[in-house]
Amino acid sequence: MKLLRKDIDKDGKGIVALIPEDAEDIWHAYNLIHPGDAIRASTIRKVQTESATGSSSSNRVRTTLTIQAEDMDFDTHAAVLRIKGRNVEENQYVKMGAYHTLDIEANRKFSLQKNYWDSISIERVEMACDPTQHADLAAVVMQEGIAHVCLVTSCMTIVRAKIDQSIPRKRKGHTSQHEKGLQRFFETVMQAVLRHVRLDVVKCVLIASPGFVKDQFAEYMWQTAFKTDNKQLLESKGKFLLVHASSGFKHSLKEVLQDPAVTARLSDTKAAGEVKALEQFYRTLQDDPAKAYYGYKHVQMANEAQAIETLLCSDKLFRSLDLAERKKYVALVDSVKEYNGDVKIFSSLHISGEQLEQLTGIAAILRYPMPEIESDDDPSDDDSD
Amino acid sequence: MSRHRNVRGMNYDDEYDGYYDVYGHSVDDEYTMSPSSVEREFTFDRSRQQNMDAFLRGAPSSIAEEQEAEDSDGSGGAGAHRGAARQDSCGPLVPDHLNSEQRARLLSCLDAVRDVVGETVSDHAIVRAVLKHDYDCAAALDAILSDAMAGMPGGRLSRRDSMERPPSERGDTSPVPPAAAGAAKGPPPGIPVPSPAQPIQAAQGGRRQPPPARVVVGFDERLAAQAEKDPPAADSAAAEAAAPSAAPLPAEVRELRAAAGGRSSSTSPMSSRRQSPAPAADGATPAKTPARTRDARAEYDKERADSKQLINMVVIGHVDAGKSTLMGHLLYQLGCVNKKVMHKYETESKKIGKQSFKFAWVLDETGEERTRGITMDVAHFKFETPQKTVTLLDCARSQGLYPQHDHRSVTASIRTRKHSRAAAADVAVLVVNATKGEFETGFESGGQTREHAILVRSLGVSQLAIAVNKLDTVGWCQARFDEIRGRLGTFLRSVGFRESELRYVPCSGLTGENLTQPAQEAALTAWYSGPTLLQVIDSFPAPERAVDRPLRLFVQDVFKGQQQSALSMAGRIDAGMLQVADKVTVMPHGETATVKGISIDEMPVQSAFAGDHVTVTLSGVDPQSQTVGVVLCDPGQPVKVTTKVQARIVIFSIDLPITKGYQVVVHYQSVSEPATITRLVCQLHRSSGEVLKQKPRCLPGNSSADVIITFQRPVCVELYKDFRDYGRLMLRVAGHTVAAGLITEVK
Repeated sequence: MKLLRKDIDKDGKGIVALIPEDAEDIWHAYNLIHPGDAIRASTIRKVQTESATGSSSSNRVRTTLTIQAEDMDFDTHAAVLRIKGRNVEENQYVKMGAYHTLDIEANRKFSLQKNYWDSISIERVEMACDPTQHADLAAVVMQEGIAHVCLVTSCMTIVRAKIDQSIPRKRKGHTSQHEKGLQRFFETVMQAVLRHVRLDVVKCVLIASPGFVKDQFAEYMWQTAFKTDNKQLLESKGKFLLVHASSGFKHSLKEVLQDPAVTARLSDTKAAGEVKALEQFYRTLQDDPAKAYYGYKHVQMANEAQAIETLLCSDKLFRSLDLAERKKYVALVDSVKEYNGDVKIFSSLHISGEQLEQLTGIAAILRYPMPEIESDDDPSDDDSD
Repeated sequence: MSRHRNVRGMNYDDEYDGYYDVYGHSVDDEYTMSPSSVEREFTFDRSRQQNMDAFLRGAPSSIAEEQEAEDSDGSGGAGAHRGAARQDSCGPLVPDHLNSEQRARLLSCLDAVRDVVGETVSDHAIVRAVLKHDYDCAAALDAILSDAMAGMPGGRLSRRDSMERPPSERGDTSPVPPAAAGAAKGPPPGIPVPSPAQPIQAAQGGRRQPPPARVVVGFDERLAAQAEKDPPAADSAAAEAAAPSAAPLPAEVRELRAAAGGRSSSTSPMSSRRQSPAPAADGATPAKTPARTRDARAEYDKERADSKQLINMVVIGHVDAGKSTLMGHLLYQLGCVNKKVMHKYETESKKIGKQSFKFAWVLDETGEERTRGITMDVAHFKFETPQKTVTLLDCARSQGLYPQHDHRSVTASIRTRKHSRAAAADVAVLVVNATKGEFETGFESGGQTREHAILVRSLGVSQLAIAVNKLDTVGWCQARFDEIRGRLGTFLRSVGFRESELRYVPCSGLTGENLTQPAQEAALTAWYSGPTLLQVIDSFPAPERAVDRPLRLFVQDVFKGQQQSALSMAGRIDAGMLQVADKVTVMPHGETATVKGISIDEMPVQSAFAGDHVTVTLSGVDPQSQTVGVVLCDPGQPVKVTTKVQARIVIFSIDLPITKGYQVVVHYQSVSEPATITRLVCQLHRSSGEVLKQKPRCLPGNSSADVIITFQRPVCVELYKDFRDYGRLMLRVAGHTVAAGLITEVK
């Protein structure tokens, strides 16, 4: 993301102008824009003109509109952000108060005006504009018959392709069916990889599977590349890394990222850091349950005692439509920082973020055990399913 | 010539007096001979009149009378034709003496009955029956059908009708409680009432509805049911509606129904139905009951009584314990392997340098397995012992021949495969390596001896034979054997095996000692005089096969058959019985398919029973949508399909506690699906089962709990209390088994 202008006064009011460059930046924009903010961007509007004779014709006109955001919609797969809201600035084509839906597009400037820029948002702007954070990683987790081709960025894990085929088992005397099925499967996976993974941008391509499937696939891929003389693939041979996973399902990506071979290659990716933090939380929960808590109430109680060492929260909490709730979480984060705690915000598109979300979205590792939190709590909080 | 004097003065009325009489009068009006009347009057119908003589004598008079009647009326009106003897081909026959209201009722009854019987019964007979029973549709229908049965030659129509009926209808006629049946008096009894049946099915939660039934019903079943259930012919609608429903569903059914409950009740109606041809009270002889009435248990006994009992055996154990070699050698000694083939294996293995593997190659089919020395998939072999036929499911193992291959990865993959096969096993052979140090490695927490033992225990296998292998490397030392026996015994008892179910056998896979022949080695015979491995396998009691339960076939493999393009599915029949030309429902899709062929071990058979490993060729399914994990089931009682289940699990020792949102891979039967533990309901005491904590925050290792598991895709499951063996599941994370459990509820 390119930062063009940042005007924030000491009250917290201000405007920031940005240009998103890729899908991840649009994800950052999605997290930045809250209901009530004013967004100014260039967009296309259908305008109806009535001529003197009475016949109306509609043209599509490109203008710059400022709308007050009401609803945000983010499409993960296509990486498209749509913002619905009312027009708040006079415009020659659009009336005030008229509804319009803006598309936040890549490589087009938009400016965001907020009434109050909280610390989380400012931090996110900085993170988005930081060029060193872009570690793109492609991963293929597979097992016989199932494969997921994913793109792992610092903030998102997008499954680009999911392949699910049924491969006949080896039977007495009919092993050829199995072989053929397997070849067909590899072919499909390879096509998916070639189509969805940009080999020039990506730093590393992981191929993970239980057993020997990954070796067979790698062999198949090199053979085919050689046969079809795919220069690009042959040149990026060094980027491919074979690792072990326990299954071909999406959540095994977690284990892949923890593999030491992988972490050595890509040190300090945000994704790996998140996984590590969550792992630590679970370990603390196992070893010393009074030092690990989740759920807003418990965490708040721990915070009041200044006991939080690490706070893990999912960014979904900050995207809620209710302003009061957002403020609540922002206040919590600020106070933890104030007490010299470490705050890790998990992206909800990562596997670990999804897992944290299931665990109410907020969790904390404490400095010292606090068993009284558990006993204070009445067990009658509702669990809706 | 209009000006001619004759023409001008013509009186046209006179001229045309009889002119138009021809119009609107057809010869048929006066000489009505419709096909049915011709048939009735002039053809001799043996079923109605037994005496040809009387017919011949009687014919002229009837004809003569009619002629007279006609002549006397001339071209008269319609009334004369509507005598009791004849009817014309247009419109229903309505007797004259009825007033308009009665006529209306008669016509409505006529319509209702027509709906049921179609065109097979004449209007005349229907009207007669309706009048006799005083406009009571139900009673009239009953009478008509009994007459029809008696009158019609054989089950000609019934056979056709019964074949037309789709299998799904069987499900619909199922448990209609008498209360609901009583309420459904509207449609005449005997029509399978879809509406009461469907709420019942809906109540069973999360199940796909079978397509609505067609109305046409075979006569035989209904009659047979009626004959059986109310011989005294109590004509109440409730009884009649209850009769076809309570009688075990159409003749094809041989399984119990949920409403009937319990196995015992199903057998009695079945047996009583079998006797029904005899006590058919009102003379309704179901002359040809459809031959598909079958009693699964009886057939099973008949067909399999003289064949050996079949058991499924799985071989488990740590890496390098020598499982494949042991089994390979055993098969060789039993003569299942050609000597020439054995020799070939030997020379080839010597060439590669793995001579010790020659026996293991018997079971390893694919090239990769041979080169790597690893059994990847599970092989499938059958051999005979003196008393039993044993289907051997070898268990994959790994071999550290290529040290650069990640040991972890190999065992992980093997475990995944192994689960599906172990799920089908009845008995297990645990192979342990007696070599110094090897046993310890296998038995430690990282080794697979423990894990495999826990695995098969949680899958329901209770008979275990422990083969203490490679004793030749320790010189057949008894102390070593006893040591292993002691340690394993303690461990296995803690897992849940009973001492009486364990048998320990010393042996050697490579030399073949104590496998089929009694021990020869002097060092062994000095202290061991027990049974050989084969004898131990032989002595396992065969488990009870659930042949009476509804059909359940969990599919383990899907492929296209060799010659035909029809889809084949392989799996083990867990319950019930399957015959060629049966209709089955494929869940979770809910499609209905017909069984075109069944084969066991490449040999086609006509029927297969619970416990058999079969390959079924189906028609009528979409080949693309079938995967491992579909279930072929009885259309009347399909298996439940759901995304959320509640299960009671026992958690093994784990690194990280289980919390809400914990992602696992659930292994159920042959299927592995990703799932999340969405709710921790309560934590239970490990052995007593009492509730320790409601809504715990997390579950530590070595505990027991009730949890709710949500799958990503709908799966077919069975409750533990319905099917003991098939209500078990296993939770695994990152290649380790973390918990095993029973499915208690489907949400």
